[in-house]
Amino acid sequence: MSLFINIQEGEDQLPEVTSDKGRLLWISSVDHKQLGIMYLWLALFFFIIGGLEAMLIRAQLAVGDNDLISPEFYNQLFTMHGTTMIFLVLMPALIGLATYLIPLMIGANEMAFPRLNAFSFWMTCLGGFLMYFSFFAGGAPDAGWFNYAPLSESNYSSTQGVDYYLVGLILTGMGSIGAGLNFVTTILTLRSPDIKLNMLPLFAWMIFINGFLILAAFPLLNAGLFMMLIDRQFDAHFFIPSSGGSAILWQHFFWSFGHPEVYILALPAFGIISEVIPVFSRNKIFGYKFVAASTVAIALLAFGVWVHHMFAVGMTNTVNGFFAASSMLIGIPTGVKVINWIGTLYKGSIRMTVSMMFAVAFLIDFTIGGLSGASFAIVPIDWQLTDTYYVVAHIHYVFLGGTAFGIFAGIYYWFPKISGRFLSEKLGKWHLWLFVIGFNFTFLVQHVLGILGMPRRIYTYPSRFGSWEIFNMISTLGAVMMFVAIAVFLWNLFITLKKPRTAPKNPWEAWTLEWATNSPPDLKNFEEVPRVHSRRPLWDLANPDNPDKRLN
Amino acid sequence: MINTDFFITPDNWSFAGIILSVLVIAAYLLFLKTKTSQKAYFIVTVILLYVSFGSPIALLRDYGLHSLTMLQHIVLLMIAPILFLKSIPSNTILFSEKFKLNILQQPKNYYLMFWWLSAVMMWGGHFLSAGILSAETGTSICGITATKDSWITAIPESLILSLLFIAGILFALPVFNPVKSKRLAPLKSVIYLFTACVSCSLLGLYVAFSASTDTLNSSLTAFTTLRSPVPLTLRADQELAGMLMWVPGCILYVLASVSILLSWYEENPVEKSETAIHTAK
Repeated sequence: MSLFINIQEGEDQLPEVTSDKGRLLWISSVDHKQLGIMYLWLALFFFIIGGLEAMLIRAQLAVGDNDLISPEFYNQLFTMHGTTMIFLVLMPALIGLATYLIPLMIGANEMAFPRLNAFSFWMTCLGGFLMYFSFFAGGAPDAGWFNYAPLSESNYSSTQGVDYYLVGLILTGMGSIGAGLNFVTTILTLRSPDIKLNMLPLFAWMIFINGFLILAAFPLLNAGLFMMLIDRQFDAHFFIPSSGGSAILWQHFFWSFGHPEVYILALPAFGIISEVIPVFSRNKIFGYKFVAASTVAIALLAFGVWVHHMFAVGMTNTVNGFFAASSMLIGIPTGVKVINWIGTLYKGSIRMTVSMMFAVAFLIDFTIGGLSGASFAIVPIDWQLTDTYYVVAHIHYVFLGGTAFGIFAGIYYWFPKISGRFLSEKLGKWHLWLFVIGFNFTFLVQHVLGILGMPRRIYTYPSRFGSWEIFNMISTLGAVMMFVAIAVFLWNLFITLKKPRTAPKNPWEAWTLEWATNSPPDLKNFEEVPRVHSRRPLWDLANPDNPDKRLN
Repeated sequence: MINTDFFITPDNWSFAGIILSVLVIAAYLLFLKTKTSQKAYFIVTVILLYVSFGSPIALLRDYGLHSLTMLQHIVLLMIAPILFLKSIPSNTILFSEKFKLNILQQPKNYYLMFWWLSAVMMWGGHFLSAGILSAETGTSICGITATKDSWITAIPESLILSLLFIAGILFALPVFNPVKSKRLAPLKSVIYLFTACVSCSLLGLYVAFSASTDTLNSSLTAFTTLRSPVPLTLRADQELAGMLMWVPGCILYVLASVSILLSWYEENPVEKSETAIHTAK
């Protein structure tokens, strides 16, 4: 007897889209470009929400002894702010850009698994909205974005907020894993026959390596999330020390995902910068092979440094010493990249577009974030500064000054390709300067606050701590500047999208394949893919007498 | 406090080992025509083998130092074999076309087998050594407790170390074969090394973090290897052993992978095939 029942399938199982306009087209779309755009809108939506949460946090901390919001709501705010910005803003924005651009960059017409692509997006979307539904279901999660046990267990977090956090992140994690699998498979199987793997544009190479990182890291997080869900829903005790579990085990699960996640968010931004800087310097990337190989080194080392997030849990000096060494070591390949980008700028014919300016801001602020990160690899400094505002400053220099600046550089760079329209450079410069100055006002002083001993996540502080109050006020004023900058950016988007499409195919005289398509590209990306013999195919076409070194 | 006298006492250095090492190096220099870099690789290989087998460092294991055993394993399984293969000229009979052992002609024939063999040797060799140490010192190492008259004491440690070196050569062969055309493709080599990295990470993780589950006694000073010239508590010793395998062990393969990639990025299949044709002529 067969174990399976053969169900006859009808010929028309799914509704067909008969129009090229309307909501159904977008909701049912499996086109990589539409999904990429939807990822970007989703990221922007949650960026506004996460930004408003940040403004409330800063308003609460602007002066001492403040009770603008309740302590309980404050806990929910900082938890949701961190979770939102990492999982619902940076991840979708980077995945969105990659979803849109990877097929175009490698001369393909689609991703390898279009339906999985749609599934990944909708999982991310569902996970995000589910997490926010918790505000209407008894309270949002309030145990911090890394949700440490046993605080996050039922005994200490009795509302359902943490459950929404767990299920929401499991869903977004599934979406990310699907996206990672799709990127790797697409790059391996759908490249134009001319493009060997060592000819990939750096953005595509970084996304390729990032795909493996996602595939290795997110299952660790999801395993931990499921275990905690079982703890909370079925009275297990994986992470409850009082009944034989281990709270430290949660930290191992979270950070063995969490540190690779830092690079999952950084590598695509590195890829964007590696595209933007050469184009606006009119130079080839300096040392392609070092930029690309150091990416692999980062990916491999990323899984051997997570314990530096846990120096304060009481491990021995032997273990701490080795993790300190490996944490410092991972700074080397990142430093190599910075040198390569500076080398690319050197003697270049630099065009200071908004995209390029964001790339330069990235170089400066990400380097500051990297240096403060290296200081955390020194165990006694980590012991002194852990859980202070120094950590808050560091993480924002990496994720906002690094990844988000990279995303902005990418948005301004690829916006003409994606929409067929140019974002206003004038408004863009307002956005840039307000945001970069505001950012440094907000977070540079937080290093000092951390050194002065201000713990992260405190609801308020005594107003007699005069210096704390001054620095917090500066920080809040900086946040206001960033808020205004984002308002300018949104206005820029709004007025630009109302303009007619005027962008030519290759407005920046760039060299990678996506610029060979129309702006925006047609539904079928390429009727005919140009021949590719080097890493800069459009340069070769424009300069037949002076082509790059042939690689195939 | 580290006892430096132990390391400078002549009796602790094997004189026979020094003579043998010099003879081997002299024979290599006399009979094989190699590049300067290959000569350097060979000399370093012999020095590493001497340090592993005949120096005071080798004698330290008599004090029950688990971390020392791990260091020997890393040198013999992971470092010395790569240097050894890089020191061998490609026209050596074992690697030339004249050598008729078909399995060695193409890496696809043997790389999986050699990968598994070396992984089994790495894990097996480690636990056998831990067992021998446990039997000799009466302590629990990596959760292994062996008695003084256990069967495990009949296995000579030098046999385990020699087998590790051979397994290391077999493991490294698909990636560092002296004949370039018989190596795995660059990206396959990176995956080969990365998966090995996972294997040594898991061993390192197990050894390092199982230390904390030992009894409290192992962290007390009474149970330090006090007589050892390098005194460590049992717990610190075991953690050091695990971390040595995990961090430097992995970094070695990361560096090898990056070095392979750096030459692959500039590779042009057309030029490569033209060079091959030219060489064949």
